[in-house]
Amino acid sequence: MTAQFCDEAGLIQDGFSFQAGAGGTSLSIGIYFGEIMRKRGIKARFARGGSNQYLVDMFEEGLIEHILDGQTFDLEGVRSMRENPTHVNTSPFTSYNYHGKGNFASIIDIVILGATEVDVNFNANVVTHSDGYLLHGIGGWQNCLFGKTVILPIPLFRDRIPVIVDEVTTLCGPGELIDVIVTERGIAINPKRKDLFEKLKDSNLPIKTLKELQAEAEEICGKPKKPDFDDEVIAAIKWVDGTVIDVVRKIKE
Amino acid sequence: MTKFVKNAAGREIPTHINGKEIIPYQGVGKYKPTGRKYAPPIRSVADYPESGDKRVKSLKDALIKAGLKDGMTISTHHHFRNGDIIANQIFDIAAEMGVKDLVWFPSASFPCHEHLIQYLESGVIHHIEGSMNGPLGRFASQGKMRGQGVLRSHGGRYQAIQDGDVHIDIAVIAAPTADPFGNANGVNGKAACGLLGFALGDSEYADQVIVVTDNMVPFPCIPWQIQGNNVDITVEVDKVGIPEKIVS
Repeated sequence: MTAQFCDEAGLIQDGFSFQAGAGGTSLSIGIYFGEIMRKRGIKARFARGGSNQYLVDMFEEGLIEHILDGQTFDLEGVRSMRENPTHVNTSPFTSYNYHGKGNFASIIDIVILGATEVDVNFNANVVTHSDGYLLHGIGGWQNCLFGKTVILPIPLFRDRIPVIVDEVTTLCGPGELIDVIVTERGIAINPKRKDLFEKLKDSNLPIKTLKELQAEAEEICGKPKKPDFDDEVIAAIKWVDGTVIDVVRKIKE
Repeated sequence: MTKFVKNAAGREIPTHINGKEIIPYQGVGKYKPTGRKYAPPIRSVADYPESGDKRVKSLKDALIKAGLKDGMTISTHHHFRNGDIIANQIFDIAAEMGVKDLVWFPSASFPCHEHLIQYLESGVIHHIEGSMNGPLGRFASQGKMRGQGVLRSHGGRYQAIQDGDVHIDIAVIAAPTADPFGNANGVNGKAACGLLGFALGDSEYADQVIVVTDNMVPFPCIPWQIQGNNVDITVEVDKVGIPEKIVS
């Protein structure tokens, strides 16, 4: 559904760029992008990796002109970086540093990321689960939010707990930077992206609001319970500019 | 005294983290720092071997030469992902030396670093500034870490190093291939992990930079993703990472 959305929104064009990840969702989206590019005879100017075999295959087939790689996820990625001059190693300086003279995160056309929770205002969490435990790092996630169209494909619920909530347990990414939420039962577009609404107005895709998607999930699973926290702060979550966007509190015993 | 304030996102946050005053989030693109970038000490070629050979015999010798002591901040990178072994060894050595209250500043942590929980408990490590995946995150969430964790994005980590929010005393850069001068890359060697980009800032800004490899080649190591001109000490070990687990 995510790839079809990108296609109908006109995001897949000759010379476009996309962020590729290692997860199953990114993998299937990448394969779909490849099919579209082959069919239309178009190329991507660059892909942002996490490189792995499937991305390297598309690159060596000539569908992608450059891989700007932050980390290689398999040995095919390593081999390609060793052999191909346009498979380039990058650093957080070139790709993400916010206190610099620009970085390439904001140049990427399509960015697809995950989230543990999203609230009805498109704010998202990647570090804590809805049980309140700190279980993940931020990685390049916050940095990638500066891409031109940021899409979070998420399930409507995990272990019968709805993923769309009134307020995220931990705020990691401000909703103003998140454009589209894709779930198995519908797609929500950030009201700020009037251009995307316009492009999708005759689409058969199930375009809904986050509130509608939330209500559907809660009809099946009920309202999620909030975790019980102590007052004690166990970790700070920094924003890309070094300010503190939120903190994580200790779980109540 | 730590007070609580509401940041621009409406979140209640303390004014201090680990005793240091923080800047509350002000909105996207709103906070603009002034001043100049942080910088490492100026060095002289006269203090380094003319032969270009900066090798010492072991990781322990390297840490001693780098001046490892209580309260220091030690950085590592995560290009070996769950196949990293050097981070654990650093703190094994620190524990053996009786060093305390270290801050570990990794570019990310993985389940293999569960090994370090014993050092968070015994006092060798005070706290972690970096992602805490799985077991370490659970440990912190239960309030068992003495200091507070600080989580940053990859870009935010570089920013913190560049701006001097974090001062790195010793950077240890595990490298699949290096030369005795300290040039290093991730594309060659049996533990090849592709690149070493996450360690770039560490190599540029740390007081002491140690490059550790299990594939020491004669000068020059090409490509030099990490430049030996930023490196103080090099050391050869039997194994720098577990190749099968690097892909994870």
